[in-house]
Amino acid sequence: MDELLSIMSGIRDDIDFTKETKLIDDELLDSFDIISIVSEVNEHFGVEINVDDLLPENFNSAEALYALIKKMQG
Amino acid sequence: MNLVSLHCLVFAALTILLYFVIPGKARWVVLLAANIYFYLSYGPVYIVFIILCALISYLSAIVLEKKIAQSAQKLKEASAEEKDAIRRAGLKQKKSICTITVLLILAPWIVIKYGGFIMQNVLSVLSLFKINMENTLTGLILPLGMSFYVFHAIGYVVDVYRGKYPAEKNFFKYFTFVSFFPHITEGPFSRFNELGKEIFSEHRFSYDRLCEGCARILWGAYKKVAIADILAGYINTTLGNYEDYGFILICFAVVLYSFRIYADFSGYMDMMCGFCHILGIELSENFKQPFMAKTVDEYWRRWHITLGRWFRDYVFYPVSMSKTGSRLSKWARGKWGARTGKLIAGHLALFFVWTATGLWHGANWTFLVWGYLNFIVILSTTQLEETYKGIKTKLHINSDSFIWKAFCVGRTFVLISIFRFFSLSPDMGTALSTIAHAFTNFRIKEINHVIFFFKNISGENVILWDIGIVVLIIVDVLCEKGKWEEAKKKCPALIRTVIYALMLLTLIILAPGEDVASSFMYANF
Repeated sequence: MDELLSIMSGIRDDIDFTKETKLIDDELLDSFDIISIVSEVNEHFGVEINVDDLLPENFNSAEALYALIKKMQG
Repeated sequence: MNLVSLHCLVFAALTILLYFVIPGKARWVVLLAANIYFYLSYGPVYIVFIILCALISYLSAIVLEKKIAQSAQKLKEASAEEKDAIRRAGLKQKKSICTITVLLILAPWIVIKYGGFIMQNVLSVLSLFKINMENTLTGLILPLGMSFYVFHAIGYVVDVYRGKYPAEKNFFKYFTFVSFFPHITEGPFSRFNELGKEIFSEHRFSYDRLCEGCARILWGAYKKVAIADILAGYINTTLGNYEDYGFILICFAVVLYSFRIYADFSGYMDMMCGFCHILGIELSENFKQPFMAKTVDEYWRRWHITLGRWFRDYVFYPVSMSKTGSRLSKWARGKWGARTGKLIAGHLALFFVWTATGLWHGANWTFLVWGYLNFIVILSTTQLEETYKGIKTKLHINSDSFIWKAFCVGRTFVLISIFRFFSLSPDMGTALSTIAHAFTNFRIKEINHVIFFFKNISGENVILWDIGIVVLIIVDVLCEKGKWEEAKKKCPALIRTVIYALMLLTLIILAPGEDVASSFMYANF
């Protein structure tokens, strides 16, 4: 989880990813942020998040994204 | 059917009446009938295209869903070694069905909307080799709303392909969504799972909703008639005879064009959202005070929001997250560093988005150039973000100060208006000539025309336009500050009634005029 938080903070250092739970609903992340996060996460965690996984419920919080990564890693 | 007419008013009133008279579960049938009537009122021939488009997307979604279910069943029964092969085969099959469907849906739209343009350019190239042929694809009339329902159908098929929601089994219900008349001529772009839920739910009649909806319809019609249509004459005269004017008046006309298109498009949206609100159906909003945007990127998140959302979901993400996009990112990372590497796939996708956005607005080089101007500015904003931050620090600029924010809002408005030199010109030659003429003819005396503009614009309508545009700005500022709803509640009933009465009176006075019969601008896209 710490690694993920570090990746996300590296892309948007103005957001507290430990607290925010409406990153998409409140439009805190834009499209460029999302593809940057996906690209870093795919590389770092060896997963393949694709366009079908781009659902608000997977990106609204760092925890939700972490859950998606864990699910993909099986 | 002209949307600001007695015919349309009677049509809307009858639809509302029948909608609430018929039992809850069957109410969508009234909407289906209203959609068909609305569509047929524009000409019976074109309904064939929308039926075909709906039929293709409806059948394809059902087949896709079956394939997804079959694939899932096979996966359940397969051994661990077989699973990967089954998954790949299923995906390949799904992709083929989805691609063929999208091409089938797009084909007639491309031929009708872009055939003449493509042919013209091909013939221009051929003429260089002294091969002269006639363009047989000019003059094709685009069926009403085709640029909208084609995108609705594609969005639906792709969503089912992605497994976001199940395919609709009832064709008539699906057709009600595709042909939904409040969104067919100018949007908003809706998703089946969102709008479908609204259309097919049971809604009870509400007096409050009726009042709110009527007020919004009135405001929308007022924006269209008392702002957009009045401005149209002045703008067309100035830009149509740009040689007679200098820099100040040409730029003034372009600025007014920005207000005109905003009043026209958002006026339409207000009317449709208001009508749907009476029925209990909430349409997606297409505007969020666009002229308050501080960057061009932000402007596009506030203007025609649902088109931007469509391109984001069905063009930007698929392109930027494609295998080519990932490979490009890796290559760029090694060559230009981590930051550019991260952004390059997005930039590539953005290029496609702005090519498509430009072309969607019209089959003309002017729209492509307009799209690329937006692309270049947005690209430079993201690519040079750190440089801008450095400059601001060096110049001790406080980003939160009112002056800086006002400067950014003004800068964005100027940029957007400059881009409009292209989007409002009939061809590239006119666009470039207008710009060249404006920038080489500074006639300082024209400032008097701007100051006394209200005298020049046709007589009694001046005051109406004047009031309208001021109210439009005030409403947007209040919305931006989140105080609009509060202001409406605080406004005494008597004053509200007087305002509504004056707006209605304005509509009655202006409605029979020739200018009023003009169509909504976005209906032509």
